[in-house]
Amino acid sequence: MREKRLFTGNEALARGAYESGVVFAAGYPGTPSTEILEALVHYPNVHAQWSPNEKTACEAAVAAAIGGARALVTMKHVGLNVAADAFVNSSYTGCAGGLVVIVADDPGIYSSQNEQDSRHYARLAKVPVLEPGNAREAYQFVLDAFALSERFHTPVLIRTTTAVAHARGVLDIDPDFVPERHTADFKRAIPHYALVPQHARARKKEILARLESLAQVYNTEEAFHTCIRRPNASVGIICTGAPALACMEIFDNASILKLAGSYPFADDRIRAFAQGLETLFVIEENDDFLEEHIRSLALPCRVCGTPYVPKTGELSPTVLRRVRRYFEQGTPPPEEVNSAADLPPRPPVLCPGCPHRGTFLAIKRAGVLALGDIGCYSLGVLPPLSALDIILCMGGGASMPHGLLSAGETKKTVGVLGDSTFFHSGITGLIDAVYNKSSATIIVLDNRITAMTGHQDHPGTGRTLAERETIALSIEKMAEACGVKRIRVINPYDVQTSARVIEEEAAADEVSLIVARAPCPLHAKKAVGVRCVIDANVCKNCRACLKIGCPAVQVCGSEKPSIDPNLCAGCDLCLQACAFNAITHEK
Amino acid sequence: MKNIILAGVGGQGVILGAQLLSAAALRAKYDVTTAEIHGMAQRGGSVSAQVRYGECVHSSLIEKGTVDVLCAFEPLEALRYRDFLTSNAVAVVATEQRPVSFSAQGCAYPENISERLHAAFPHGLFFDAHALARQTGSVRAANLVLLGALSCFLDFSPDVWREAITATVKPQFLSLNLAAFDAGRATAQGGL
Repeated sequence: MREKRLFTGNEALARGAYESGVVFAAGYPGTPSTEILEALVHYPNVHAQWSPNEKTACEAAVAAAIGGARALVTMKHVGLNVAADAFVNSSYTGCAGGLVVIVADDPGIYSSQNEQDSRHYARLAKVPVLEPGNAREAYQFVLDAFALSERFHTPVLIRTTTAVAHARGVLDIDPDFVPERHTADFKRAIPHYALVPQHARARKKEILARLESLAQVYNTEEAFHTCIRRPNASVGIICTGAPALACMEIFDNASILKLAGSYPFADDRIRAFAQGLETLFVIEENDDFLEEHIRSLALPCRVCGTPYVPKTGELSPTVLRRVRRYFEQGTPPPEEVNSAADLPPRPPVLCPGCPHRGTFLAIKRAGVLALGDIGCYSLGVLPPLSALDIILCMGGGASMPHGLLSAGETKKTVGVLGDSTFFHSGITGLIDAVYNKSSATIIVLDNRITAMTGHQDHPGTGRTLAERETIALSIEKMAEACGVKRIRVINPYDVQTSARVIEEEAAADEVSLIVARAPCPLHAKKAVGVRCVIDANVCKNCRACLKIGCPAVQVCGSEKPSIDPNLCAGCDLCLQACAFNAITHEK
Repeated sequence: MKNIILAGVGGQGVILGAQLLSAAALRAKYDVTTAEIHGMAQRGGSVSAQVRYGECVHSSLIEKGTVDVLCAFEPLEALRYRDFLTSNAVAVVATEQRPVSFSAQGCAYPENISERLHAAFPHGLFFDAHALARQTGSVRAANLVLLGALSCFLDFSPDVWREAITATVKPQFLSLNLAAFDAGRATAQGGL
């Protein structure tokens, strides 16, 4: 019997994958994509796993799909940069079983290092993209994507966004549904699956033909668009994804063509929609991907988008209302009054008791440049710590110090990355440094978990996504095998000793690896030690304790600081920062 | 269509609140969506959730100026969403303050918060939900106290809410949560 249940976008994607009979699913955690695999792993007969990085996830899934099983890959937008080699080439190999790659974009940059628009990858790889706008569509589009993938032997990209991934909606499902599934049974086809130049040349022609067939599907089949014709409307809006659903409410006087996916371009569908319209208004989040193409069609009507639609940020209903005003009036509307503008923000900060805080205090005390990476420790860049000088990408913390030092930089420099990112892509950076006789010092902030995305296991934790025990890789042994001679382990809660070790290693003229090891207290669900209190009679109100940036150490106006006992995790970092011994352990 | 915003600070139970509200709306036979803004909320940042219910809801995001009810778990977080409310919207606000983290910019918690609340929300219900939750058994149930108060301004029955709570929260916390819900409901009814 069918029943209505609430699903987040990510849970709906997982449900759709399960009902499609997915056999193998892999990914690397990344907001806002993480919860897809976390939901999928609970379904029966699905192998769902965290991979060390997005590239290995994609490679493994491509092989599963070539073998004839349905396979899924999940990642955030920047993860597709890492997986790009495998992803683009999978278009050439094609697949026997359905292959769906879900990539979660982050318009508005809520939790990422950039705002790239993944639709460009669909065009680059010559594969179709589908862009669900809510949980219901997320579920349906995964079903459609697997069907499309198997019908045309092509990987299919699904592009979600934060507004889809973390939104809930009602799905009408059969909880007892048992999908048909096919495990791998590889059929040899060397000219197809083995990409050497003579094979790839032939495959390229087939891919171009496949793309035309896919465009015909987008042009003619009803599942791939929604059209609202409003009587006497002279303006027609073309849109995709979550903003398209908001457009239906905001632009109540215009006709609307909501495309299920931007690519391949559904030229016939777009031409038919444009008939009788004075203006075709292309509304899309981030890049003018469709607009640029539609302009090239030389339609007999005005085509716009730029400059009315902002090319950065989320196209929320509030933003779309402003877009409508701008479009109708021809001039940008005045900035709206924001009554919250003067309110103090609550930016994300390192948690009370976070071991990274200790390492950053040691880095500051050692007075070295620190080149960072992607994870909780990225928060070390914010004041009052301001302890990171460069943040580029995942794995960059291991590779960048060598580049800077080899280019003649004389200031002492360390690289900083996490345990999960060490396994993700830090190891290759470490090898680069050793191989090229660098003097780089690399600090692994080993909190025993992928913390930022909500505590996912990784190759160093000894557990898989399915909660099975497995081999826990040793960071020190791996570094040793890579040829690192200087390996030190520090306790991040001991700032003085840690600072001394960092100074020593940064001064050494060969590669050093420092492991700052302490479990994430939020994940371990226990305090670090005994809670601290400030003795107001001893406190000189110098406020050194506030400079460690701990949310538990608070102050009102010019009063002396105090420690919130509900927040304090007993890490003693404030105690070490106090020169007057005013901070002691709670009795 | 009803538009509701829940707002608070990481760890206060905003997301669970939105889950319970949407589960109750679904039980009341409405179509419902929620949207959560919790980028890095676990780390003490602001958290908010938008809930929409009605005959058929497509877009999960709410436009400024269209919120019918605001349910804020903290006064400063309530003020952030003032511009989202319609002119006759109701605001249910817990009055216990959560300090803002010290940062190098030296941003301080607004001193005239009470006056600002009253000016911003003419149809406001301001009460100490956390104190009420402590009386009921645990400060952690403050989110249920707030939902109880919120329930008085929405059009489905308390039974639907109780069913949703029963189906969602862990059994060992059920009686506490139901008691907190009832306490919040009684407060709002007394305040009307």
